[in-house]
Amino acid sequence: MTVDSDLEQRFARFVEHQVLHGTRLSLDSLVSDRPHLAEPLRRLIDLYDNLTTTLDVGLMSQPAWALEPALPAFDGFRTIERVGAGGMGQVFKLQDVKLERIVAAKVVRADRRANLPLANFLREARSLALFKDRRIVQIFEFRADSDPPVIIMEFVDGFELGRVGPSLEFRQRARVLIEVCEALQHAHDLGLQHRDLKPSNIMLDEALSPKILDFGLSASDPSTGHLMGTPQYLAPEQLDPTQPIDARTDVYALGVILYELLAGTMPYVGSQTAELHDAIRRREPRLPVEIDPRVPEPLQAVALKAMERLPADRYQSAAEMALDLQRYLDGRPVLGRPTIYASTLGTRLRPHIDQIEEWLRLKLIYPHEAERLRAAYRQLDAREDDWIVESRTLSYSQIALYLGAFLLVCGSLFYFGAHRFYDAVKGVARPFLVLAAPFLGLNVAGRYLYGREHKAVAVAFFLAGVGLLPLFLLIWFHETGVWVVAKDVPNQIFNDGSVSNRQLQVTILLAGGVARAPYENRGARDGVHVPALLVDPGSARRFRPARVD
Amino acid sequence: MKRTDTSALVEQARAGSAGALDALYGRCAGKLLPLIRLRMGRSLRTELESRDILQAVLLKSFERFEQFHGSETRSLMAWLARIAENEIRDRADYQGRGRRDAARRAPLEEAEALPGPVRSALTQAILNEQARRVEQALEALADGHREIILLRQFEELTFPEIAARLGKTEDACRMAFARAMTALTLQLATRT
Repeated sequence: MTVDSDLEQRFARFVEHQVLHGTRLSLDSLVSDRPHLAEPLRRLIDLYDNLTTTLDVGLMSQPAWALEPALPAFDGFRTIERVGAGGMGQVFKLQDVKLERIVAAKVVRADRRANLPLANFLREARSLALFKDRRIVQIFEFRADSDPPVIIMEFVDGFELGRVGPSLEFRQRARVLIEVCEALQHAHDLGLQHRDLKPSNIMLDEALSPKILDFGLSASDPSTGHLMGTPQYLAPEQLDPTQPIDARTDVYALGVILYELLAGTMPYVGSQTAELHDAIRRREPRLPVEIDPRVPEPLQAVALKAMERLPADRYQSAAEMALDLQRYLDGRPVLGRPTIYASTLGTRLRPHIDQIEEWLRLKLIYPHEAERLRAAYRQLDAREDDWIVESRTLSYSQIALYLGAFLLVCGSLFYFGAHRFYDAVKGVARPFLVLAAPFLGLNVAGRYLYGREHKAVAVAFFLAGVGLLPLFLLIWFHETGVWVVAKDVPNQIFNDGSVSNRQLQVTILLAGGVARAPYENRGARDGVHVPALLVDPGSARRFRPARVD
Repeated sequence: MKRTDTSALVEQARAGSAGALDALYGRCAGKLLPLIRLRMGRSLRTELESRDILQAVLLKSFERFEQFHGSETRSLMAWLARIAENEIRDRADYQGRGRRDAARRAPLEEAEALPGPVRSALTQAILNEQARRVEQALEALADGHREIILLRQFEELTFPEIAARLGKTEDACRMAFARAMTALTLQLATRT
């Protein structure tokens, strides 16, 4: 008798017994004389159990063939149904008999228990127990001694992000992702990375509030956890065991999730694992706007920025990504500039730039036109600095608010105290005393705020400082009596003789130059370059551009 | 869901529960589509036609749900299977006479007018990969094995009912069913 038919006969005996008598023969009694048949027979019986369950439930629920058929029982709970199965574990819906509350139970699949020691399972339970964030699934209990060992946790009733995502507005998708980022930041703050983030591990309730599930692979050790998790969401550093894994690995997965939410497809595909890994390591993803033109560019930028191949190029934390997403929701430009933009643009610009040389050679254009074209392309290629982007987003109301507040402070200072000193000192010291101090103060405050990443406010302070400058100059001119020429010329704006038109003119020109300086000449720390050309309208005489050090 | 839950669902559906009707059709359609395909035989079968028949059967049963109460079997699946058999026979006749009833061949895309439960049941049945695998395995079985599994598991008849239908003893039917299930499991095992 061959091994196969022997096995089949034993299996047939099991099924007959089951159908005719309604009882199950034990595996041991069936293979007592042939222990090596135990494993294949057990597999057949599992398959049979699955088949009958499937046929009984109407082929509608989808248990994978290799899963355990019967619902496990847990002391104190009534098992209602199986709600999910993943690579390593299964999740059941239970009802607490005493409290009557619905909970979820997570167990490790029977066939994987050997690979996944209890210690790992315990670690997941412990990490869950650390979290205090409503957006991370809450753990109630860990039972190591029950068979199988089980984690009892909050039952999350909702939909997987992957299913709901496509029907959401783009703003809603951004809002969901912000919450996911924030929850993840909470985990990162505790030193744990999720390492298996994907849309099916994020559940949305009816208020679209997300909940992160499955911290089964979460860990904090940078040298472990490579090549685990779902292939499509693996970061490049997870494919290379020499690279450390840190919080930015989760940021990468967040980027892939956002990409998928926007484009509706995965950034990298491959029919084989090796092909997929190669794509993740080397290929550039298609831009989501190429796939779906409705995708808002700022969200695309955030996704691609988070998906940068080098961790150093990504958002450095989930919180940073959340902030950038929030900027999109607030209608401010996002800060993320994915390198793929520059590289894509760079490769596409090169033919154009070469073309300019060609035109120039053929004398189709003049050299100065060529220079203008090159400058235009260079500008496209150059990356704008954060602070310029920031300062462009200052609204008029913000500037008015900051300046107004500043004037109020200055005014009251002057009113209550400064005038005494003002009367006491004479000459050039006057404007210095009264205005130079606030001017310096504003600059110091601006620099401090700039360092603290409050760039928009810092720029407002600098602007306020610049606003002081004309005032300072006017007082200085008045006190020292310089530039009083042509005071007796008719049609003076101020008839009381305090300030002449010439003084006003010079003041505005000088101040305007200084105000523009930080934008043009950011690198010059030793002085402020004043590019304004001083022109005397009366004599049409030109002054040299000044450099005030 | 256990076998007995079907009758509970039927009661609830009759009482007007939309959820129960949904679940009922979801459950039935998953079995009905393989059943229809397997009963039709190769010559009649094309993908679209079996879906058409499923749609027609579900629609008819939806319209005549009241009649089910009066039928002799307690098995909803057996009742649906009979509607399906009639439908298949009707179509085979049309096919034979070379006539096509355009109205009956309405493609699924025009299914907007379908009642909700029927529509969702249809989509589920068509998408059900697992039903497809079981179906393919069933097709590879011997005729006798396939038929008894269809009667027992798909039409959900009791063994006395099957015995009456096949003209055999109840024990013989049980034995045959056990052998058929063994064969089906082995068939699936070779496929995975």
